[in-house]
This record gives sequence, structure tokens and C-alpha cells, in this order.
Amino acid sequence: MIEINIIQKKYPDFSIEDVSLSVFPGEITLLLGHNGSGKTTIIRSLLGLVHLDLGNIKLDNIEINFQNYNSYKKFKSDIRFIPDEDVLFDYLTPVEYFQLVTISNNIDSPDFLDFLINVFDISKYTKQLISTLSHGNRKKVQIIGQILCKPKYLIIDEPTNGLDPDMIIILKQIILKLRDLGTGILISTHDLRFAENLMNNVTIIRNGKIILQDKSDNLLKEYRTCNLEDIYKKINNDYYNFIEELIENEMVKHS
Amino acid sequence: MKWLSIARKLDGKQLRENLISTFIRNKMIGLLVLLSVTSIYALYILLTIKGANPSNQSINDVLYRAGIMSIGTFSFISIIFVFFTRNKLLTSRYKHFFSSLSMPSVEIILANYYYVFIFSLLFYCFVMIPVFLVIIFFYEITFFIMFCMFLMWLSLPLLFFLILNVWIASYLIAVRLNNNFRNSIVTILFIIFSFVLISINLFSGNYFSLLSLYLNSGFVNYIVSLLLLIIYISLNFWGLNRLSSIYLGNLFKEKLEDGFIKYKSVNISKWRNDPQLLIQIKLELLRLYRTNLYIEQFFIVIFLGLIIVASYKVLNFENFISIYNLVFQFGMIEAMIIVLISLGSEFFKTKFLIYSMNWNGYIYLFGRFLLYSVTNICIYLLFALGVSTIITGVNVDLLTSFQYIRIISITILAITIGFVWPVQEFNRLILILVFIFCYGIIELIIFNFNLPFSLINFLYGILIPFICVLVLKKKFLKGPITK
Repeated sequence: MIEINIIQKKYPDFSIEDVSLSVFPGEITLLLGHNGSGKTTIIRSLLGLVHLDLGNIKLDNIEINFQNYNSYKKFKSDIRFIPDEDVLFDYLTPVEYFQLVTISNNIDSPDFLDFLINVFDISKYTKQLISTLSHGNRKKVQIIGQILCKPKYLIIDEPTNGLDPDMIIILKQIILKLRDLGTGILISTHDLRFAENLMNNVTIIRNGKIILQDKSDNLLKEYRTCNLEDIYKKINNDYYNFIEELIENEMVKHS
Repeated sequence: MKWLSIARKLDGKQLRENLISTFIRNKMIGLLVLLSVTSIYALYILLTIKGANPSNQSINDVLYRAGIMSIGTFSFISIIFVFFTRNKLLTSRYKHFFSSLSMPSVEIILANYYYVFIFSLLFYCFVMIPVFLVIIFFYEITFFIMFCMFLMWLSLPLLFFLILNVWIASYLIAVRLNNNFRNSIVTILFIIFSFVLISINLFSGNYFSLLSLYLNSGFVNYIVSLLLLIIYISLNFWGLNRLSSIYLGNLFKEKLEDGFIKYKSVNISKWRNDPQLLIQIKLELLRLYRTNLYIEQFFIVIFLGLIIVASYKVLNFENFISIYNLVFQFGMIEAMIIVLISLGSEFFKTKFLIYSMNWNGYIYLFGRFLLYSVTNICIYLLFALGVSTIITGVNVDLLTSFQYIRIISITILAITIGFVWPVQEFNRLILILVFIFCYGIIELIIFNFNLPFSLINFLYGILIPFICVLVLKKKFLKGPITK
């Protein structure tokens, strides 16, 4: 299990306080929130890329020290991250990139790679430079590169950005299969429809603070719906009432 | 003037934000750079004024030399700037202007190259203002002198249009000749055309603005030379206007077609049993080859070599040696660091990938450092052995170990600067020039103190590399991104 406990992370104009989040093996944890709510900071803190003012990261109850390689060695081999940013080695072809991933991480699974290339339908582009691929195909290369490593934990930031409807459906099935095979997954997304059938645990944050954190079964009992959009609206009720009032008054005034 | 407002809103805004954020982030480094540039500029002004000898030279000779220097300096700077900002047009926003806004092609070109021209002008002023100060301080200012100086300034847009036309013409010829080696052919053609252009302007004196020096009397002659210059500028602008739509059409079509070029794949799986260091070197070589960065370096080396050879053939020995020293001291540093200064920005761009690759930070750095050091030593040997000894007969001692130690210190220092101040297409040349100026100052200080040679070797060979590696590992190549 991976745990992140942020007691405090301060920026000049923003702070995250008292956020705790766990990713369990064989479960999917959803991280939802508006733009600028702190999702990316939480994910980067989890990866050790952002230094916390107060707080810690734990893997199987052992605190990770990101200054000491022996401490984070196992953590790094267990975890894979698919960022929202369009980051790839542009000067390689997809097939060269996948080969680099396999030799760097000491894995050898050509059949699994062929399977992923076929499933994500990029066999036509494997000998083309990554820099010349479309945004969607680049995203697929990113996803394959990380899933190829068969990680124990997978962290995905905005998985659906740039993907076509076919690929969104396929990705959803692959994520569910990975979960069933024991991978712990953390997904940060804006796409509530995509996330709907995936969640085991949900965390919703607003302005750096958790406003809801629960298991999906409990949410169903409490809100009597599986519709994530309805739940999200109810949780943020005050905000939406304020916005609706504003739209009602101001739009009429300006029309 | 839609193009001007677009240039200001896009590039101007980005430039302001970059400058402000860079100086706010690195206040000390910014201050140091500012101080260094100011000091070297003050030194340059003092030396130029001190070296002026008005009693021996007539104003006509001084103006003629200033004219030649003006043309040479501006041509050289703008050729380099145009070449290194060639990919700027390929950003999606310019494609959008071309396809969606039905903006005339020439306006897109003007918007794209506006700040390139401004920067060329700034560097031109940096070099030329002391020369103009000498004229103002030591000679009686007549209408004729003012007119000549005005013509020199007016001829700058002419030169810039001419260089743009040469670049576009090189590109269009290359596209028609061969599609697969287009980038290399464009570079070679641009080198040849630019060299011819500078040679014609510099050495034959076949230049309209200089006519006024020989037609040194009468109001009619002033008007004629001014008119000739304006006609020449208009002709160049007309040429640019005609060529720009064909150029942009080809450029954006090429961007679409690039997707269908298949590259010969390298079987990276075969590297599995190679040492990590070798993998890093091979990977960097692949990047340099496929992103055409080596071609840029090749361009600079050839260009500098041609300048040395041309100065040797055309100038007298005394003038040749001053040009030779300038190229050998500063031009060669530029050729050495032009590629490796972008290493930092490549690292920051791909740091999430590097995170997942589990690479060792020292090996990542050392592999690249080794590759660039070898490349730089090859450049040095090419200059020292090829250009200097064989062609011009200037004797360079190849066995002096200090030159090699100096190359190693330049390499590691440039890599570090590239990490501290990540370069983009737009600020790369500025950073390189700042680096050369600052490095020049440091060397000036070190050698003025008459330090023992062992101490200088220690400074260059051990202290500078040690500090750089320490900064790189502790600040940038740190865990958990790398091991």
C-alpha cells in the first residue's frame, strides 16, 4: 500500500493541508477536483518530485526518504507514472522507445509489447519518429511505455486527454484488468463519466483540502446513486448554488 | 501593421515574461551576467577609443572602414540569428495565421523575424557604437559624415531582407533537389550563399550605400545614393513578398509530410548487455543525429573555417591575425557549446521519463560530458591542425595540455549553464553570447593576475569541473529523478 500524508505544503498563493491518501493493491483510487485544487501537487509529492513542508510518503508502512537511494529504490521499481504532460523522447520511434524502457528497467516481454501495440492500434506508426505523431498517438505511446513494465502501482494523470472514444473504452478495460490482476491504481481526472465504473475509493479535493473521501460502496449507500456527476454536484452544493444564482442574475442583466 | 502587433503580443510578451522570471528566479546570476556584460562593454569602448589614431587617418578612410565593418558585422549576426531561429515558424500559431486568418505570407514572415531583426540590431549596436563614438569624438561632424552614418543604419534592413531572401531561396532550391536530405542541403546552400553575400559586400565594396563616399560632393549625389538604397531595399522586399507565400506553403506542407518519413530503426534491444555509460552515449548520439543538432554544429565550424580562410586570402597579415585570434578565442567556443548548452532543457523536458528509466545521474552526465568533450577536442584539432597549420601556416602547439584542459572546463561549464538557465529556440543564441562574454572576462581576470601555471591548471582542470558536477548532481540530477 502507498500512503501520502500531507500535513502542509505551502506556496505563495496556495496551500495544501491535511490531505491523506492511500492506494491499495488491486484497487482504484480516484482523485477528483477542480483546476488548481492541488491534484497535480499531490501526485508529484507522492512521486517525491515536490518536497513537502510537513508530511511523508509510505510504501507498505515504511517511510520513504527521497534523499537516500536505498530508501526509494523499491518504491521506484514498484511505481509507474503516466503524466498529463506530453513528454516523450521525440527523437526515437515508438518501438525504439519501448525497447529503451525494457532494457532500462531490465524487463523482457516482447509478446506483451506486441499485444499492447495491437490493442492500442499504433502498429502503423511504430517506425515513425515520436515527434511526428499526433497528440493521441503520443498519449498511447506514453501509456504503453508504462504498462509494459507491469507495475505494482500505476499513477495516471488525466488518462483520457487526447484519446479517441475507442481508445477511452479500451483503456478503461485495460485499467480494470490491471486492477483485477492486483495493480494498485491512482487516477486523477476531470472526466467523470470515464471514472464512474472504475472507482473503488474516491477523494475529492477543493482548494487544497479534502471535502470527500470514501469507498464507492459507502457512497452508493449515502447518496443512493452511482452517478459520479450527481455525487460531485452534491458535495460541491454550495459552490454550484452560488454559480447558478450568479448565472441567473448576471446573464439576465447583461443580455 | 497587423504583423507588428502580432510580433509584439506573441514574441514580445513571451520575451518579457522569460526575462522577468529568469531574473527573479536567479537574481545573483542575473546580476553577475549584467555586471560582466557591462564591464566587458566598457572595456571594449575604452580600448576602441584608445586605439583610434585620428592624426594618421582621413575621415574618408575611417568612414569606409566603418562601412565595411558595419556591413560585415550585421550580415554575420543576422545570418547566424536567421539560421538558429529557422524552426520558430513551425509553431502551430504561425500555421494558424497562415491557414485560418488568411494573413499575407510576407506579414507572417515579418512578424516571425521582427524580434530576430531587433536582436541583430542590438548586437550590431553593441559592436558598432564605439566605432561611431570615435568618429564623433575625433572628427568634425559635417553633413556628409552624418549622411554616411545615416546610410549605414538605413542599409541594415536591406541586408536583413537580403539574408531572408537567401535563406528562403536556399530552402526552396533544397526542396526541389532532394527531399530526404533537405535539412543538410539547405544548410550547405545557405553557407555558400551567405559566404558569397558577405564576400561581395565586404571585399569588393560593391555596395550602394558606399557610393556616397566616392561621390563626396553635392546635394544631388546624396539624393542619388539615398534613392539607390531605397530602390535596393524595395527590390529586396518585393523579392521577399514574392517568395514568402511559396516558402510558407512548402514549409507547412513539409510539416505534414514529415509524418510519413520512416526512419531506419535502431535495435535498442541489442544494447541490453552494454554498460550504462555506452547506452547513454549512444542515446545522445541518436538525439544529436536525428534532431540535426550536429548539422548546426557542422554549419558553425565550416562557417568559421571559411571566415579564417577568406580573411587569410583577402586581408593583410596584421588584420588577418586579429580576425584569426577573435575566431579562435570566441568563435570556436561558440561552435563548441552551441549543441551542449541545450542539454539542460532536454533534461527538464523529459524528466518524468528519466524518472521512470531508473538511470544513474552521474552516468547520465558523464556519458554526455565524454561525448561532448571528444567532439570539442575534434573541433579544436580541426581548427588548430586543419585551418591554422595547413591552410594559413599559423603554428599551433597541439601538445599543450592546457588547451585540452580548457576545452574540458568549457564543456562542463556550458552544460551547467544550460541546466541553470534552460534554453529555448529563442534565447539560445543570447545565452551563448552571454556565456562567451562572461567566459572572456573570467579568462581576462585569471591571466591578468599572472598566476602560477599549476594553479591555472588546477582551476580549469579540477576546481571548475568539480564545482559544476557538484551543482548538477545536487541541484538537478538528484534523486528520485535519477539514482
